Amino acid sequence: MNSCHHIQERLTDLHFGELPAAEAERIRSHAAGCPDCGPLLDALRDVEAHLTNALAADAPAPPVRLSDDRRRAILDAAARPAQPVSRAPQAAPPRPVLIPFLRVAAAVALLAIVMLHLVNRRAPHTDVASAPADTSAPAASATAETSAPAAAPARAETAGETAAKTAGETADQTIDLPSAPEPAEIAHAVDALVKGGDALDADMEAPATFGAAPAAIPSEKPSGKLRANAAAKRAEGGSATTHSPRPTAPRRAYATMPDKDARVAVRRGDPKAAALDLLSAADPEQQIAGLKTLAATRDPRLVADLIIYARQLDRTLDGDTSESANRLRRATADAFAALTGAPHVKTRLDRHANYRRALAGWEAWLQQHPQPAESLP
Amino acid sequence: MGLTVQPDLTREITELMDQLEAPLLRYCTRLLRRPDLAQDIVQESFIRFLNHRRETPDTAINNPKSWLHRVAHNFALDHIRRNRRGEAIQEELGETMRDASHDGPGDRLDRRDAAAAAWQMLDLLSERDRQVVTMKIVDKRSYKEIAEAMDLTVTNVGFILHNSLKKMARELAPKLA
Repeated sequence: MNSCHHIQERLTDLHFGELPAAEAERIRSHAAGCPDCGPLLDALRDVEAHLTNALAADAPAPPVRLSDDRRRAILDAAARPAQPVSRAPQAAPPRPVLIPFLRVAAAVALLAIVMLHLVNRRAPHTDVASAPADTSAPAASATAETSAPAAAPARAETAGETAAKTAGETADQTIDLPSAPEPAEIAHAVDALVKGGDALDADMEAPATFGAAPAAIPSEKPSGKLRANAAAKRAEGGSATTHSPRPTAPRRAYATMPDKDARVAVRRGDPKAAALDLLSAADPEQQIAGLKTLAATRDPRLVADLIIYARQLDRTLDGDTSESANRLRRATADAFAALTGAPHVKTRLDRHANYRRALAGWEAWLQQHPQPAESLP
Repeated sequence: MGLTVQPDLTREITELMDQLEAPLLRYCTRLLRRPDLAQDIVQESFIRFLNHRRETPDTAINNPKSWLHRVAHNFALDHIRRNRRGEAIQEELGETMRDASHDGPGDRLDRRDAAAAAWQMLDLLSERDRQVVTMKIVDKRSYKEIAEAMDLTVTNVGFILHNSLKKMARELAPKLA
């Protein structure tokens, strides 16, 4: 089982001819007789063949160079004087004459709805009053903040806001989504995700944290840049995260995750996808964020994925005594402890030999605790 | 102020074109199967690069190679998505723009179905993983080349490919059964 895990992670490399000859031969001969690895290798080949046939077969010969006129157009564009940064406002398209009238009509209708709602609230039949309140909600929240409390969907937002306030954030209901946050911010955000902090201690957030994420996060792709002082608050450090209530943390983590795919995955409530996405980033800080995200799930079924990563770390960090390498080793060990409930590794992981020994222990754990396989076959 | 940077910009874009036009054209042609479209997309990618440099002069693009690959890939994919339906109709009408004159209508339909199924599988992946997979499978690049183009490590590329293929294999298995 153990050796199979080790071999399975190399099957793709084998298939694409990326292994040294000796290792390729060893893995090929194992796969030929193994009931797990053989079918997996076949499945990987099938996918590759399927994609190749569908996408890459019969492609016409590509041009070697851009055509002269296209090349010239690019160089002309490069030579053109820069436009002022503040662009002139574009000419507005001609508006249909009806639009101003429609706006007035909409405003009148909206006013009528709000008035009706207020009247209904005073009336004794509250059950009847609730219906128009719901229907008026989107319009009311879109135009007049003051009328929002009457609307049910608006209330859902306010609940998220309240959570944000209790976490020490500002009262703004929106949150900034920086396009390129600093690595330190990422780590901080995921710290918040796993409850305020420092390491992946025993009382880490349960997977329910992620389940809560979609409710706390705007359901649409942030239409841009929802504004708030959240970014500034984030920069201020841990005060907001020390006792951060659950709904707030994933929202913050989501907002500061560097990778759009990871953010989307957390938003979907799919922390595993987010973690794997971050683990395969080049930036060590992102990988640490991935390890913490993985750990926060506390799902022992993800140990196999963690060990695949840990083995790659073993290969790439051998002899690396940098601080960044040490943090990666430590975060991996912490993630293993969080996923399995095993005690934290006590030895110094800046010595790679210790890390390797710990890895052997993790592999042994996996062998003794086979998890329901998520992987093929 | 902007004028002072023009010679640099011209030199930079010339160097980038010399270095990247061939691989980008090859990649886009294989992805789109249309050399003319590939030319359009590569040109548009370089123009986008210039605009980005102009509009945000203080925001450095750390790895222009990776940036341009990503932009070209996204343009190509946008085109594929937008035209998936239109192209299907064209093919049904026998007006395919590909050089497929020797194919019968059945072949064309089979190929179209296969391509649609393949894109459906690729849609399971994140943007970045999809690009890694297409660079490997469509463009037949080595791990090292992909790593360079995408600003990843070789280990990352192996990891991404392995997980992506497994994910797609899971999707494909019931269809092959």
